[in-house]
Amino acid sequence: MRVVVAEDQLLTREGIVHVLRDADVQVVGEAVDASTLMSLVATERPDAAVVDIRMPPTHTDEGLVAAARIRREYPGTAVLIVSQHLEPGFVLRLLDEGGDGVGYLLKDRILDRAAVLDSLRRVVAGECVVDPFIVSRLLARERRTDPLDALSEREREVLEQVAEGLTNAEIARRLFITERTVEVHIKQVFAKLGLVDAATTNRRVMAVLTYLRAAT
Amino acid sequence: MDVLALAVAAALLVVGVAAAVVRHWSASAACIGVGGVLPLMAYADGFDAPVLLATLTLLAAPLAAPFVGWGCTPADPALRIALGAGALAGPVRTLLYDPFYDPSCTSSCDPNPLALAHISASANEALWLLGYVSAAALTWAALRGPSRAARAALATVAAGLTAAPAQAVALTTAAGIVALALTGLLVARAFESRARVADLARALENAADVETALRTAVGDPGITVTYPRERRARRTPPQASGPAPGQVTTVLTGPDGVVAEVHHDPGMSDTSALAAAVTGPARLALENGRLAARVRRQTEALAASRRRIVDDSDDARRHLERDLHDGAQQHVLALGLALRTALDGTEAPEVVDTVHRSLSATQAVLGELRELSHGFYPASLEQMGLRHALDGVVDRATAPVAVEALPDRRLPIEVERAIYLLVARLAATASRPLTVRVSTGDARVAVVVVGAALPSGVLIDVFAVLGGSLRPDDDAGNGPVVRGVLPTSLLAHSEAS
Repeated sequence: MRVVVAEDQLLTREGIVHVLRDADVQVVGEAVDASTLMSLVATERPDAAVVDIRMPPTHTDEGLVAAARIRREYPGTAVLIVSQHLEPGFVLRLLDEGGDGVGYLLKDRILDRAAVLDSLRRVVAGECVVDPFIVSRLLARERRTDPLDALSEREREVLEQVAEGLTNAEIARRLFITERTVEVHIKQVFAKLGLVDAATTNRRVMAVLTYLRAAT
Repeated sequence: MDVLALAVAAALLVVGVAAAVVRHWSASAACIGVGGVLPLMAYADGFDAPVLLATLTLLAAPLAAPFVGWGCTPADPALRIALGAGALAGPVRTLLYDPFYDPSCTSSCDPNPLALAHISASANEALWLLGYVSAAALTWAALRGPSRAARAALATVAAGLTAAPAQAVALTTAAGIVALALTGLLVARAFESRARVADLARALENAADVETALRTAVGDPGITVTYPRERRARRTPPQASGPAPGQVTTVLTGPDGVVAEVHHDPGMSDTSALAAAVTGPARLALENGRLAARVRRQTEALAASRRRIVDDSDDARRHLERDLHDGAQQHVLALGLALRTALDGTEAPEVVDTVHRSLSATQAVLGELRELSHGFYPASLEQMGLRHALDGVVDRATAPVAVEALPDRRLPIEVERAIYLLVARLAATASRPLTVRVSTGDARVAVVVVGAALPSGVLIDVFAVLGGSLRPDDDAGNGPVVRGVLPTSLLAHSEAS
């Protein structure tokens, strides 16, 4: 797998590159800002870009802007955002603008090598990945009105897994149910959220978006 | 008698000229100077003076009395009465004084065809005596500086002497007529002046500022008023207005020092109107204006200082967040990665155990740093607006927080930051469920947090700095409410960064 890394902080960048190289991922370029990242992607056409949100010059949302551009202009390159911010808004924006093949991990997840590699593999496969910690934080929220109230316990559980970007097979394995049951649950979720007309992959993203929107 | 008259005249003339030289030309100096002429006239009239001097003084006498009154102060009622009596005394004496009955005037006197009756010689002498007593009083008063008494004395002298020239009856009559005419003019001016003061009093009640009222009352459209600042107030910028080129400044003082400076046209003939205007009701208004100006300056300085404090704390929060992100977080992350590498290189159970515990501690530190930096300054606020930033607040709140209404459009970042700070602060300490409603309308945005108690003073400052307000309220049975209002357009306040 060929990957470029965009991160302006030296220590963090070296850490990410180290983790990836250890796992035999080929790091074909390192960037310290969004424009370098864009030219690297244009020349190297990597399978994925690991991108920090805050980069020079403004240190605000350069990474998110770059992610949307990469997904739009180079569909062959997936984007894994590695961010310090636990901001559902950023996640929602990434999914909104980047579509599929994008992921959002918290930076301390870098310490969990397996999670990084797994997320990278999944975004390259065209899935959406959201850091489990963010998902659980959203779920733990005390709500007064919840559009997801219509979902059963199991359906909500399944949706949570979908939101994390797992495939049906992986969800089935995790919840110890058959893949067929997962499909039924997901269909129920789609129906209850009013997502009946869209195509399946699109609907998975839509469900996640609905989930996140409801949570935000 | 003649020596005494000459001495008084000379003394008054010297004092008058000296006063005029030292204090420049002023009404008071004029009073004293003219006062010196009057005893001289008594000398010229009553004794065998040179013909030229006698003629000149006779011509000057009727003019002197009104001039003294006008030059000193037409507003002084005592002076006006004395002046009027003196001006009348001349013609009256002309009607009552018959030289044929005057023992001191046997052959040299002209007949007085206008005499209807005659007064006794002793009454005539009494008039003379009155004149000299008044002259003495005038000298004494003039030496102590011009005062109400001095002016009254001047007027009495003028009155007595206007009545004196009896030898030339025709001249006396003419003098009396001229004196009457001038007195009439004076009285008319006095009435006009009084009317202006009344106008000023009315204008002050209606006009927003004392400047406009003064312009109307005094008839000088260029008048400006400035209020002196306290000597220690150095930081405030220089005053915008002052005397325009060609204007002169009249400084008005009160018991506590300078009250105001009135800049007006030097050619303004009626400085007495200005004096009258500013001594009466305008004085109060000016004093009021000075105090208002001081309060305004202090308020502006306070507001600026409060703004600086709020801006500084805002900057400080942002810098802390940046420092945490760029500094501590990446070092702790690097530490975690090093621990992870160490874990790969060892099999020893006790080392593995220790490193594992260190790793989870590292992860906890990272999580805490993340929460800390979010608390300082939410990254999503500037880029994504209030809705997303408040999501973070809801996630971290100690009690359920429901954001029920938010405007669809973005608000100025300062406004969003203020609202965010308010909700974050209230949510962090909430002991019961909160409901947040933010609504816009009429160039204002209203924030209502139901269930929250009194916010901290800093938050009140943050709202006030932006031109809004923040106050606790009670929502008819729903418990405490915090209500905030902010303007949606911040004209005066634009952040540099």
